[in-house]
Amino acid sequence: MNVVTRFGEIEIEEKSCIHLKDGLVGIPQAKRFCLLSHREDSPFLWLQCLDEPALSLAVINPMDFFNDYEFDLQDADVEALELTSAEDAVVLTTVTVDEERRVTTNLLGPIVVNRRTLAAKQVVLSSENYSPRHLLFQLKRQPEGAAKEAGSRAA
Amino acid sequence: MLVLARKVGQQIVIGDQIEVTVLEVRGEQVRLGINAPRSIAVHRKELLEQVAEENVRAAGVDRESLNAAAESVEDQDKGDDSARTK
Repeated sequence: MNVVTRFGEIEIEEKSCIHLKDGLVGIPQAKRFCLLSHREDSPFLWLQCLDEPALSLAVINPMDFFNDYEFDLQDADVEALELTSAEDAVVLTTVTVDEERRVTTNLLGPIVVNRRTLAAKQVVLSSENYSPRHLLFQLKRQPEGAAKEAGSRAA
Repeated sequence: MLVLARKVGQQIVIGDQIEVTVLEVRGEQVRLGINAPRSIAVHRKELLEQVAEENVRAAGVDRESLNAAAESVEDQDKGDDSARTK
């Protein structure tokens, strides 16, 4: 099927749709998503909402960056995700880039996807060990020209 | 908003499945015990708000920033590779 995304119209297979029954935390109406690769050799992905074309979140698989990231799922979440084996759970975490060009990821609110059924849920961990803005790395400062260009576009 | 005054050890019941017990009051902090079915999610509200905020921020990441981030990761990987071959 053809869907309109933030990056233009694309064709995706209906069977590759990820279903978040409860939507994202704070955006409950956003329920159907697909994963778009960012570009070759990039660890980043876009979690593109199919219900709201303008909504596309930058995400990573946190295991690409942290091999010791782990958490327990509540029984209710295991049920909602239709999970029968932990190996079927794929984890995504959202990524942001702040004004200081720090690239952070939200380890407190991971999105868990059942790779077999594509049922998914964003869970909020009660663990105090994980931050919603865990630093991945710091980007170099934007060149002056690029910052000005962004400013003039807004003006 | 319904406002109830409770003492330590007293409870309130919400619906027929949720019980909240006041366990301790110390200064400005109140400790609550919550009994609810496992299908009902119980969260500290500020954590939900933080996660909601990060979702909005992640949706605001522009393509240029993500390209810069991907390049930074590639450079780091290359750095690792050359360090390994030395």
